[in-house]
Amino acid sequence: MSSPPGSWRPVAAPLAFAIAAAVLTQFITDRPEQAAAMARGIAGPTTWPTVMLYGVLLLALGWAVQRAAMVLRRREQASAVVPEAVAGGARVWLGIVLVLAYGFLLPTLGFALATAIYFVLWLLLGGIRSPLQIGLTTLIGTTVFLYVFVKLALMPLDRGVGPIGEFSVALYRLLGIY
Amino acid sequence: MDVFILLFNGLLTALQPLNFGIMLAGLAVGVIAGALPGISFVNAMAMALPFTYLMSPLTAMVFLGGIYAGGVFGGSISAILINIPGTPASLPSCWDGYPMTKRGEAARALTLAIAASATGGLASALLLTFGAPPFAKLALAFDQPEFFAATFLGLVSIIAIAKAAPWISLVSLFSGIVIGSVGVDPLYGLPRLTFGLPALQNGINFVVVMIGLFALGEVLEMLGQRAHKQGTAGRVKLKLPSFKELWALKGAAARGTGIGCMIGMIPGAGATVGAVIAYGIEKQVSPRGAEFGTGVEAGLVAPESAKNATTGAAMIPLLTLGIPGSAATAIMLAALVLHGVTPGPLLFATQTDMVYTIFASLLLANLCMIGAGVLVARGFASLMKVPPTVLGAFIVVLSVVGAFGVRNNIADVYICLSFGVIGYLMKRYDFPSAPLVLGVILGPLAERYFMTSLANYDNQLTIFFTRPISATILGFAGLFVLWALVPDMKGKLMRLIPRSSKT
Repeated sequence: MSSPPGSWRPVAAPLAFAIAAAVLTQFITDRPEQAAAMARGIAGPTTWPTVMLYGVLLLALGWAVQRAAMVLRRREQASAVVPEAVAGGARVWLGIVLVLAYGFLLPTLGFALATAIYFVLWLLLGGIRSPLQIGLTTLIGTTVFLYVFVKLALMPLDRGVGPIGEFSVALYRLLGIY
Repeated sequence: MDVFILLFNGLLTALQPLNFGIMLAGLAVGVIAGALPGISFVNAMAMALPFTYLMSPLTAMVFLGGIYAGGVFGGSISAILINIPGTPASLPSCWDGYPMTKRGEAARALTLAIAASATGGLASALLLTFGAPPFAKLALAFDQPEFFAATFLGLVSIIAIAKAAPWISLVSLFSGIVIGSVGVDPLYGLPRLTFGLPALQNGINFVVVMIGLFALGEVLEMLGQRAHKQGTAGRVKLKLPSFKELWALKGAAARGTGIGCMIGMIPGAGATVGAVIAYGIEKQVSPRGAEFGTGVEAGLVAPESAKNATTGAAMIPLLTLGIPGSAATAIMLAALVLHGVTPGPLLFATQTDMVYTIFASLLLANLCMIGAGVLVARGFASLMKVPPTVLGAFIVVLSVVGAFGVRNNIADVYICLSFGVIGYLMKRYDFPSAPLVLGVILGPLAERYFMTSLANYDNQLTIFFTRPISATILGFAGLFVLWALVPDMKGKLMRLIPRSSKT
């Protein structure tokens, strides 16, 4: 996908930043009266983020002007179509979904099960098809992580809920972690 | 003369098999922990702290000092090999180290980084040994306005790095500072930008952001590449650079070391600030400054020297005044207190042997880091033969565990994953992520020091300019900005002014 030379699309990102910064200045705190009462002299609890947000706003406007000037130059020069950056193919988006699902399902499935499932799916997504490679990587990877982080480092990683939690505890006992 | 005798005796104690072995173990743990994306050496030090109960105070400090020295360097291994900084201070190493790896010069980049780190670390250990008491007096003169000025200098160094795209880089930096201000205000206790979400009350930790943006972002980028199934062939042979090659980079190493030693002494500044400032200054000074970011050796050597030069310097306020300047030195302070040792001026008088043994072991650690660094770097370099898909799987899990381990809070995992997606999109759309991360790291520090300064000095904004040290540092910052921007602005103005035709 590419943008025609006169397209104003490059200005969209800086304007989005500017608008977001402007909007956020109104939502810095849900206790504005308290913030005003706390303020001593020139600064209060919302001073710093407010100043920084106005900084984002002004700099984003500067960035927008720079981009607008670039668009106008391209229009004058009637330059060739400029290829636009494209955010990855289907594999990347599936990878994003998988990573997000792994993280968000950790409390439900527990670290052991979630990591094992994640390993299998990620390797398949990455094009690894050998059952031996997938099996060994999953088994070794999950076991090493359990030993290092649960047994050695004593991190309270999630065990999962309900029967899955009981399964995790049984697995830890089997592996000698508990 | 006394100092040399004390140091010699300290060296003999440090070379005793138990102490030397423990130091080597700490060094190895530190380098490995620092190199693993998602697991920082500070985590390793925290995990090692309970083990120090079994040791004497001296051995405990030697162990933790080894982890510290090794860990600060270790982050550069993953930064150079896979563009994922293992520690925040290794972020500048990605900028010129990884391009060297892409050119097939991974071995050279790693060996230069090892040599530069050892140089900076040794100089810093010598400064600690010979300069601790007088520099402690200087550290006493630092107060909140000076800490703010130093942090401001670190923020301003971005300008040298961001010259090619100043507007977008500054938007990124300020956005990072805004992200860093999410959570409860450090002075008043009021939640800001939390939108009523309990998960955001604790704020957004910079380690979580860094792991998400760099580690996860890089892994997702790897997945999109055609060669995601193939590892690189061949073994990365690590050979120390020749003396001539090192001598050619003496300027960068010396500048980085000097900056690291100065910045390291300032409590709260830390290795990250030192490394970033060193990179920014080197970019200005180097004749190849315009090429920085494409794999210029000076761009790697300067921040590497600086960050390891902060290690010994950071222990000066710790040992002389009992003031820890960073999370790492705070853990060392905890170890000392656990063993009934009170750091401060009396420590030098009552436990001189222990103090000089600590100095000697830090010197040895930086010397031995060359060997430890080569071994671990070789091991990590062999990981490059692993298909990126498999490597990526492990990096994601390490990142999730690392994010969770920051505060044992699942919300940090969600934030990390969100920043992972953002990091990938930033890479694809050429939005610079380094300024954002630096904003997240330094922004909260700058705010805390700024607000505390106002609270301590009757809300006088002028305090930053009336205190001599603070004014000097801010003056440096101003000069640095001019130094960085004026040549470019002059060039642009010259191009705008039409040339007069000759008749």
